[in-house]
Amino acid sequence: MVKLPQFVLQRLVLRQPESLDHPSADTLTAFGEQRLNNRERGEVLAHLAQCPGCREVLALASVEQPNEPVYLPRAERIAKRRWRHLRWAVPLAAACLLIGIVRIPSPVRKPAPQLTAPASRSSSQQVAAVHHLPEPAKTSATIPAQRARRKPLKIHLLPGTTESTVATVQQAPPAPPPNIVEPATEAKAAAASVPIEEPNLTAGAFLPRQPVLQETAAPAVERQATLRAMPSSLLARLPIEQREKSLWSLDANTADSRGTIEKSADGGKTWQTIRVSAYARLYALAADGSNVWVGGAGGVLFHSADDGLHWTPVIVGDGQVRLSGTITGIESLGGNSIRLKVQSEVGWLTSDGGLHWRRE
Amino acid sequence: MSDAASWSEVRLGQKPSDVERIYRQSCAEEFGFTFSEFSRLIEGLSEHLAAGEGAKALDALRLKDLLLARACARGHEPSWDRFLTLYREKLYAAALKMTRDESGARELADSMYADLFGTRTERDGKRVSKLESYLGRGSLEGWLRTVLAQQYINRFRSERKLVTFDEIIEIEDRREIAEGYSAEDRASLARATDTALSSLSSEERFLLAAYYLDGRTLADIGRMLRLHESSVSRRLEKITSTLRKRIVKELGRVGVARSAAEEMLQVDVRNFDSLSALVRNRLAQERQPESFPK
Repeated sequence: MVKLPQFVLQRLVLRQPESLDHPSADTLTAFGEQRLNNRERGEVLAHLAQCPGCREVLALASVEQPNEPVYLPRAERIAKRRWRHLRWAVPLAAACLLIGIVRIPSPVRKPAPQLTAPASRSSSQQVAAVHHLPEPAKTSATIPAQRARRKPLKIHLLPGTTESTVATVQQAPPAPPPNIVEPATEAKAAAASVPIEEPNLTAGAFLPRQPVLQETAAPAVERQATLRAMPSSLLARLPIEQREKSLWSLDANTADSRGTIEKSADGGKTWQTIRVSAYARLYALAADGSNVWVGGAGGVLFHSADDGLHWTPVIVGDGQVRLSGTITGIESLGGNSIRLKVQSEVGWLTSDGGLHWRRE
Repeated sequence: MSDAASWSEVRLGQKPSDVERIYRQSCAEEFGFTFSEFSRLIEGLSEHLAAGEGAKALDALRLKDLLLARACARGHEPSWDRFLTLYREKLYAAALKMTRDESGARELADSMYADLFGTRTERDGKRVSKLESYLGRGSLEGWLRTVLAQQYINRFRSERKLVTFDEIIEIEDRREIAEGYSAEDRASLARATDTALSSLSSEERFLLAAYYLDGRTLADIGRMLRLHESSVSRRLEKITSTLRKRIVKELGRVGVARSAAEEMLQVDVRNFDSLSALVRNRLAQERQPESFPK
């Protein structure tokens, strides 16, 4: 989202008058439920633009309801309406196709020659090979290979994959769980235990391949994005001893989750909301064993040494400068060392669990 | 009945048969209302309904909710049972969502119940129930959530009045955030910004305030306005770009070169979050509007 210059915000604040006649609860409710006429709606909007209290009330009162209708974007609504009268076209076309397939005898398929990848490829090369397949020569193997490429890539991402890979994979699973961060030490073990699937170049099927191990730990933000793409089926395949360790989740995009994170002690089956702070906006999370760190806007950082039971605020500064920017990533470097990634500023490092900090 | 009918014709512009029709449709008898009581109830709503909309305004009312609320306010026991069955859990869930604390939620919900039941009495000894102020323009459930939110904010405000010394120092330090321009430039900038902000519609100013001042997410704003968050995002993009163009134009009118105006509009991203914090603090602590009615 475009950011507004500071002075615009300041002028906007100054436009908020000190006392106002608030609309009644009845009017605010009717506004929230779209039951006011245009004139009244305009009046309420004019008030809301000036009154932070009523905006707060409206926001608190308009919580998401289980039966709340889904408000599609306008373009989507129009497209839906346009195709409504053609709702029978798809079953009809499918029936025609079925009849056609039954009537036309299928040709005998010959087994296609196999294209094998060099066995000595490194892990990163293997991942890259999925995305940048060399253009095959126009032999009899070309058609199956092209078919394989046309299929959506079904890769289960593991902790520590690079950002470019993440972008591709996030499109593949249909219903990703929220970003989950598990202890860094477990991440590698999980990577070793779960195979990555990539398309078999010969038949377009998906066969399990060698696991990809990342040699260097990825930054926390990337790891969160990576784990967001991990489907629950993959989590379920983690060994029991790993499933019993805590998994962590942070969803920074909803107001309800402000100052809270989620923890799962049963491999992602059930989640427990943990309130770290009442007002903090949290954007980054890292866990290493029972040490958990969360940080966010205004340079707030909290640390828990007991797997999220108790939280301590940590002041980040080096005696001269105190961190006030937004923490966008936390990287656990093992032991008591962590690295903070800060929006538009240099990062911060500590090697004694947050007692002393230095800028990168 | 004839009184009610003549009133309906004069005040709401509807036929007597309309009142009878909605009396039957709303099953008002189940809530212990006779036709004349029902007519008086409708008459009492006249000043709150949109004038000149007649039967349309009446049909838009949530009559069953209204009758339930008014029956509870009158002490109709079966209606109370029904009310508690329908809303007890929902009210507690809403309170929990606001306070995020079980004991706080119980306390908030209990004080709400006390107001709904009517602990206050008038001089003649008659109980005054908060439910009497419900007019049926929105759903009863939505109204209950709104009243609960108002109570929560009233309470929250009274607790937030204590500001720590560190916070005060921090706020004071950040007051000078817009420094860096000459006094003349700042005055021009302020005038240009005020003019540009005034040219926006109420809805546009609401979107700006909700997103930039209150720190609401696109999804939150979408729920408030019943829009998809992508629509909110598009609108915000459009408003901010329009605002920038208008400020540059206004600055051009007072002789500021376009390049200089563009430079003034550069955002210092590092200070953005601290500014937002400042804005929120100022809103919370310095410019508190009057409390909501209790």
